Amino acid sequence: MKTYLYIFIFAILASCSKERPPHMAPSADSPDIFPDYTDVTIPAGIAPMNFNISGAGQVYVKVTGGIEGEMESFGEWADFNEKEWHLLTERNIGADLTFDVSVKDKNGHWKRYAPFVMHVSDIPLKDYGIVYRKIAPGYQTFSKTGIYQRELSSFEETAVLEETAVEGKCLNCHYSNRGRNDQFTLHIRGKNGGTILNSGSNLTYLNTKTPETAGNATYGYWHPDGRYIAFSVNKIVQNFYLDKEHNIEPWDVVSDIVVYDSETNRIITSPLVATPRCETTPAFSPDGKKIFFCLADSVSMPGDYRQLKYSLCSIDFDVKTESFGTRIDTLICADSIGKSISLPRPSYDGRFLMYNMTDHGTSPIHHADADLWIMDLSTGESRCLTEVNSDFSDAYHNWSPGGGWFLFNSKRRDGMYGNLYFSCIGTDGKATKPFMLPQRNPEQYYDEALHSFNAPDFITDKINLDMPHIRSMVKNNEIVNVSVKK
Amino acid sequence: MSKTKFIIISVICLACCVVLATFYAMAYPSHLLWQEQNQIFLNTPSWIATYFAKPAWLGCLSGDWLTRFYINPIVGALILTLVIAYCTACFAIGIRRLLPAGASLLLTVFLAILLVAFSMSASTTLEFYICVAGGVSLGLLKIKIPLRKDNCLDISPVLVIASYWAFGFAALITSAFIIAFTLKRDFHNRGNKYWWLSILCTVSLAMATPAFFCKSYALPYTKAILYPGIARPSLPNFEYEERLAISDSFYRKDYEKTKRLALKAGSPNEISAFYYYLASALQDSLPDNLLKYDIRNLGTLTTIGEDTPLPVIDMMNDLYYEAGDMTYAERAAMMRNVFSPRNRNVRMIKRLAEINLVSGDTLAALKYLRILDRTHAYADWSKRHTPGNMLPEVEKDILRRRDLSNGKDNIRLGDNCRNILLELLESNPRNILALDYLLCTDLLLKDMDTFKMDYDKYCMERGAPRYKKLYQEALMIYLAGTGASDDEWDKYIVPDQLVESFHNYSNQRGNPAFRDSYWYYFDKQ
Repeated sequence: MKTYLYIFIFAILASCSKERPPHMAPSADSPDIFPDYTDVTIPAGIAPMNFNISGAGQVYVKVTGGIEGEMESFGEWADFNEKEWHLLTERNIGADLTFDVSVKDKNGHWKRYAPFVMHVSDIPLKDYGIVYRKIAPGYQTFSKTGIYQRELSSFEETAVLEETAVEGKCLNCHYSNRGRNDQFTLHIRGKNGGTILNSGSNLTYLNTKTPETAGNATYGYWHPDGRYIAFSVNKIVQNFYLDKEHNIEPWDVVSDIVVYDSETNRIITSPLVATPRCETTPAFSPDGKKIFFCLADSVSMPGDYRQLKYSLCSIDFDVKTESFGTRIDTLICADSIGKSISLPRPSYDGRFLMYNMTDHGTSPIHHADADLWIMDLSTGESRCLTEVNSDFSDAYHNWSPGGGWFLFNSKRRDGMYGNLYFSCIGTDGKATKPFMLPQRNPEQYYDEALHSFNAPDFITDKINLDMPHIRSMVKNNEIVNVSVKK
Repeated sequence: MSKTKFIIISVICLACCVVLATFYAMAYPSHLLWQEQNQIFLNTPSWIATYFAKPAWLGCLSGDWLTRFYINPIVGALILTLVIAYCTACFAIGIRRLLPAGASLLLTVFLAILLVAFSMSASTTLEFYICVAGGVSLGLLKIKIPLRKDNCLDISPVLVIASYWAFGFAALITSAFIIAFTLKRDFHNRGNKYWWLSILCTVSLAMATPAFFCKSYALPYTKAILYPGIARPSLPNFEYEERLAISDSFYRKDYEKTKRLALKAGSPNEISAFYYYLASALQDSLPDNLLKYDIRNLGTLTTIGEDTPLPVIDMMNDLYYEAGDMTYAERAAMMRNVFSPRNRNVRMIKRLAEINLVSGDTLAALKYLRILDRTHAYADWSKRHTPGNMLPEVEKDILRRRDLSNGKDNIRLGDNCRNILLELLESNPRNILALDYLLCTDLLLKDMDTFKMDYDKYCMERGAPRYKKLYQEALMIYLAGTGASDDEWDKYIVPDQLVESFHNYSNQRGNPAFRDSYWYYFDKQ
């Protein structure tokens, strides 16, 4: 009996043992890793940057810190221990991590590759995580969608609100005030649809459509004081392209800009931003004195869809008088560049304004040519972020409240599904090579996922939404009508 | 129970199982295949991990794992029969502990019939049965902790928590058995004065467990307690089986069988008509067969939206894919996918791979092929379709479809099929399927001016007149109605017996002897 026990224990231990590669000189070849994390810059404390190597039977990785420390990983893919990884990145802030990769192929032959590095940025990313909507790309369907949050330091993803909690509803974009977990809006579409407003103290369900405004509140952006929210009110239509390359083109029949006052439950309007032209995607400047937005002349749609080009504009907003300024400033004129601008997002430190540029239209995620551009707000000069852009759509960017880091959605992996990438702007104003949101087993995760990460943003703390309360508000239509300030 | 009685009951049970399995395999195979097609199961840890995000993980996981074997209807029939037999046996054991032999037999037979009746609905998944089986099995268990002397503490109510976690709604069945056994035991052993405590614990746990976990599962309480869903009993639906069989034979590219099944359908409907016509079109015989089916549905007047029934979305997907409009085929496939359990439908994932191969979006196609590569039944299909490793016949088919697909760079207002067909013909006038659908739609609408205009534009002006009996008959109506000259007649009509028939018909309009002609359809239907 004892013999069997020893054999059993030995078998267990043998199966747990990890085979180290034999000593050999590294080849000149670089490992073909997925995601491509070579030479990326990462924040300390990020979730382990696990990666896969195509066709590998076993992967051995030794990571050496430029300042101190090292760690190893054995297995079918590079799967780093979370605690050790955090420790290593924290100890090597401002330095490189060198990855020495050896791969055993299916025939049992080991190969050691040329090492590659990741840089640990000295710009911290202290946010709790990110929030996003997961949805099948490009099609209006009310099935399983949901708003999710993901911790940045781990692989933990939790639901903020799933469609199963408010059945038959479409959950739309979540907009928070500088990543705060207690100040955000969230749209729910369908029967008894409305906008969930968490103003910090209470949860309200709003009907943002008024007789005086063109549509429901759609794209939002919070004023830094947490009281006002700039919204565009849009009536959106989708048309399909004839060829498969472009797929779908959403456009606004009508769109205006309003500011919602969460204390008085009123909407502030101005004839300057509620015109027959299309004003959309507003964003407050970091000091709250200005609203950036996009503006296009009305064209005959969908026939002239190629002529629908948005300029980047701004208008003053005074919280004391609760009024818009008296003139619109055009920062970039669509006519002069022959392109269309969308989604202006100022960095919270006021240095930059990031926006999208496409050939035409207002929905960059549906345009493969959509690229991220950045404007230096001190000089007004813009440039294309070639360091981060790809041949596919790069859009839906947002800044970290801590500054420096930003995230965006890119379809670069397959042209179809939008995945999340992170980059940071250094003191030289240049963006680092973006890295894909880490996953425990990245290849398996991204291969099997049939959703896009839609409208992502950073959050400073975990969101704890009272789902039963929201369900009750939606089900019982406990909706509060918004009025327009006269 | 005597040995003879046991043997008799065993033989009857076995015979019932054989009959049931034969029924599923012979009379209900398309229902089983539909279940297999309406989901996907990937052989990867990350996929398996997704089952833990909701209650009933064991029921759903094992149900989906077994459902993939439904691709073979005989294996599917055996699995379903065995699972139902197991559920019935568990119920029988439990009920026998509670009731006298006669009453328990009657109740067991009733439950067995009910379980079979659940399976008659296409929406009843194997998950449901596995959950029931798990719930009943746990209900039969009894867990005790020994205390001092001869005393034991019955902690069976904790099984309710395990049952909810692993089998969802079946925790209610587990609870019912625990309560029934407790009551029964109390009647026998009147000394246990704390029997009510066990019942109170069981009821509380059955109600409180879903309430406690519903937030983390992101489910409302009512949905959480009944997760993954309660099936409804129904009678065998042979009409639906017919529909599914037609759709399956089309999916397998057996167009002769599709037409044959559609023609012999006991209750012809819009779906059987649609596939009859689409199979005919793929055999270049749509105009020949347009008037041969009692119900006329080309699908060209159908649009899809979020309330469209699933079979109609499938139809539109097939029509657009065969016609060459990859944008709309993809839209339908995406919609069908998200309306499937776990938002995955293996037939649509295959279709999405095909669509992207046709449109040349290799990266997107590879994504779907990689998913299929991780399945039990479609890994080979995936390899055969992977660029660089593609079989010559697959490549040829992809290139043929690419040649027919819509390559114009524009956007369209809606999914008006006429516009879609016109755009396809503008892209490639040799798209005969699109041409026939366009002309046949005109004819079904009896819109002779539009038919003549389309025929002129896409046949005559391109020097490719399409001499089909249906079109000739329709052109004769137009030419006669507009008093066309002899030259016009010579230009459009091939002199043969048809002209003489037309003259005969003109003298006896509405004569049923001509019911196979377009003239009769034009006048009478």
